[in-house]
Amino acid sequence: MNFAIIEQIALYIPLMLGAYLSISMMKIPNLSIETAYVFGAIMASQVLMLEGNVGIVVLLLALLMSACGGAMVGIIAASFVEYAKFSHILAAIITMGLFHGLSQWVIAGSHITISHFYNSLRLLEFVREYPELPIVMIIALLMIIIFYMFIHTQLGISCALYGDNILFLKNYRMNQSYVVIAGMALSNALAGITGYMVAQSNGFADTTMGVGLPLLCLSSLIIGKSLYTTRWPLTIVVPLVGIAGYFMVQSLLLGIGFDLRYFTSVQAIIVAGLLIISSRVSRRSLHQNLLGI
Amino acid sequence: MKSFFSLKSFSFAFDSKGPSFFEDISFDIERPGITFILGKNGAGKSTLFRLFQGIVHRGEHVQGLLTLGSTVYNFQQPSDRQKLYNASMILHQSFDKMLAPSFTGFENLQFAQFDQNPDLSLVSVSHDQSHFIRQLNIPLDKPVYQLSGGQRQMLAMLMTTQKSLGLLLLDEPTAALDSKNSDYVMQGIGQLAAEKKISVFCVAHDMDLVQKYAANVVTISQEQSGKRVCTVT
Repeated sequence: MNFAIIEQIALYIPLMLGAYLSISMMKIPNLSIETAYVFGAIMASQVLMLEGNVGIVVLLLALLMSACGGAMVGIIAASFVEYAKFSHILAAIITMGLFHGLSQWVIAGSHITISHFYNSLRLLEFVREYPELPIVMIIALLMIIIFYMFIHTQLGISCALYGDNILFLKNYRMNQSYVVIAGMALSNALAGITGYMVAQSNGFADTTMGVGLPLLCLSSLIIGKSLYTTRWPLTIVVPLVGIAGYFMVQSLLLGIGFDLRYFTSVQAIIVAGLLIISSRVSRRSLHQNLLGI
Repeated sequence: MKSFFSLKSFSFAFDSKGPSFFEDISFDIERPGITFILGKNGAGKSTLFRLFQGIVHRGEHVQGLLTLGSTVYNFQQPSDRQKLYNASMILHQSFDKMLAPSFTGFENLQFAQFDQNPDLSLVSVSHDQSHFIRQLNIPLDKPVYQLSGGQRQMLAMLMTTQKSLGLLLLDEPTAALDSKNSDYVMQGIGQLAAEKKISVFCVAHDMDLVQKYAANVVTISQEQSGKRVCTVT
């Protein structure tokens, strides 16, 4: 069993759940997810550099800080859309500018090394070669459970209703701004948590560490949607299958000696290919896939 | 006879400094059932519907009192307009705006009842149907996109009445339907209005429909001076 791939998948599960919520369920072109990922890592790095704390406290604080950092990005991007009536893309660009400067200010530069501080992901070292695996798996599992419960609540379903029919919430006198802001906050909080775990795992946080992230999310969601179809529009399987498929493709390419520097081209080809194929299937299938890319 | 809907000294202008579009209009609706609103294009039917929902745009001026049952709403008070917005519902001519196509009829009926600020309470979809819904014969277990136009329209109408409601506004509810389905929808609306004690206003251009189902008719006409007059018959 390849633990490296499992660890990689588990690291990105929170991000994928967040991407599924905003991009697939709410049908928002959520480019601010990249900013949330970076800012989550930056916020967590401030906790990870504290000396003399108990491991579990550092872990919980880092999770909280990264989630809050990501949620802040989501709240601001969604507020631009709901209250200033910006388009989602414009809101994401402005938010990115805002938080890029803020990140540089927080870490006094564009890069911060945390590898020489206590590694909060090594709290339970069961597997010698992969000391971070147990904690990463526990966090991923926890996020899956929380997300599964969330999409069965009034608020979770309201997020899907916003994506299925953008007028539904307003027509039934529901508070659309509240739903959009809450959905984006949760989506980006999950991205922030992955940002923290990746930064901790790599030993550094960088203001450019999120480059290419939206393409990773899109590719994974499209792979997930292609491999798993269901009548019930709210499923947790799509993002999980998607991210697993994504890293398996990456691993296969690595196995045949492909240089991963050029992997974005492969991603783009996979995304375009799957979208062309799906556009040629029957109208009914498209309807069945209405929620999600 | 006590009226269950009344409008008193109602005036409206698109621009607070400009001429009045509606001026000092008052009428009472005393007969229960569907009230049809008739008028030529541009008479102000859509504007009246918008104002009946308490929706006033920036720069517009509105005043007057609207009474639903025993509750009085003052159009000049933003808080009253918000209450009126929450107490009313409009079924658009393009009824698909009211539906979530990927979800089943049962789910749509359930989701239409969500709170104004949806919370974190878990949702379990009920498959119970009242005798009235069973009579309508809508396959509620199918995703909405698989239903026919008439079935979707009936479902949208049912969904608008899921919350406790004082005022239901229907914008040409039968425009996209054949005569059989039109009867089906109008009878359903009549039953729902009586069952739930809702004031129902309906804009329609089909005079046969008006003659068949109208309990009251409000005609909006425009005098040569531009002043709009509402007559209740």
